[in-house]
Amino acid sequence: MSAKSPDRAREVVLSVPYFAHLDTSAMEAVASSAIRRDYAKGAVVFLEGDPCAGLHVIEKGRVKLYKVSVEGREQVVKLLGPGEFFNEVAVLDGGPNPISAMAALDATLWVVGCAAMRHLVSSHPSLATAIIENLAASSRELLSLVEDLSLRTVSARLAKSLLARAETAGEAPPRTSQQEMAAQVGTVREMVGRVLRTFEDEGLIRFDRHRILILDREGLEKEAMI
Amino acid sequence: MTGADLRTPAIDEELCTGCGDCVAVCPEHALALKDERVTFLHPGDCQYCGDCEELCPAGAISRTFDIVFSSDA
Repeated sequence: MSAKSPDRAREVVLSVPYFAHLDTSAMEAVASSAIRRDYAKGAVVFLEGDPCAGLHVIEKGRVKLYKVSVEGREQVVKLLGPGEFFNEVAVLDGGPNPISAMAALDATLWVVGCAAMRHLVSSHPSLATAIIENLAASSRELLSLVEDLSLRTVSARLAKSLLARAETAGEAPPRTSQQEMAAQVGTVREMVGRVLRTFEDEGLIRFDRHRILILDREGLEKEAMI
Repeated sequence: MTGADLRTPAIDEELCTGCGDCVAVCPEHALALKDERVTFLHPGDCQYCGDCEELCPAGAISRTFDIVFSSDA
């Protein structure tokens, strides 16, 4: 379903931290070009390699950005929530979507088409600045991911992921499966299962039915090499 | 027990091949085949042990977890 609602679009644009300093004309230009789209949990927003799908701003829900190997193994690159935007890379360089996106929870997104977005960026310097700042932050996160994948063991990556999830417990999405953990840390489900059992044997965690309790935070931080 | 305590592993019906291995391995006999697909016949008996998830050759069964610090539990 798609719909245009300038007032609502304006509110969503204002909710994006990087857009907080947009001048009024830039904010109005983005809001008036945005089209609302709703996605059910699990719905694909766009696929890697397809023509630029435009800049997407999240009003509600969570979106997973991921890549898939030819064998079908998934690597989660980033999880985004309300007030964040994505796919600016394709908008800026005119190339295809560099990544795939899926609604991790029911999501409401506002989309500005590639051509419209490029025109807005070139004519509104404050918008260009906002996008550059977002790209810089994304670059830092990607460098951290590269560090994790290349310099940390699977155990260390999983320990780090468990700690990060516990620290944001209560925020959506609240639950994760071993498959989802595997996709985030760059391994397979069976390995996650083995490592978690090892952590339990070492007294770092305990399985309590549908909860994983972190018993030894310091020990897990040491395992995570942080 | 609350509703959350009785959560059972999720079964992806599109991946499930109806092989029945999970039914055989479940120590609590909580699973059964129905219309060639597995379902939780006795969800209250499920102990969330994960044997079914480990064994499923199709990867159709998955448990979800809340990850929390024990001090916050």
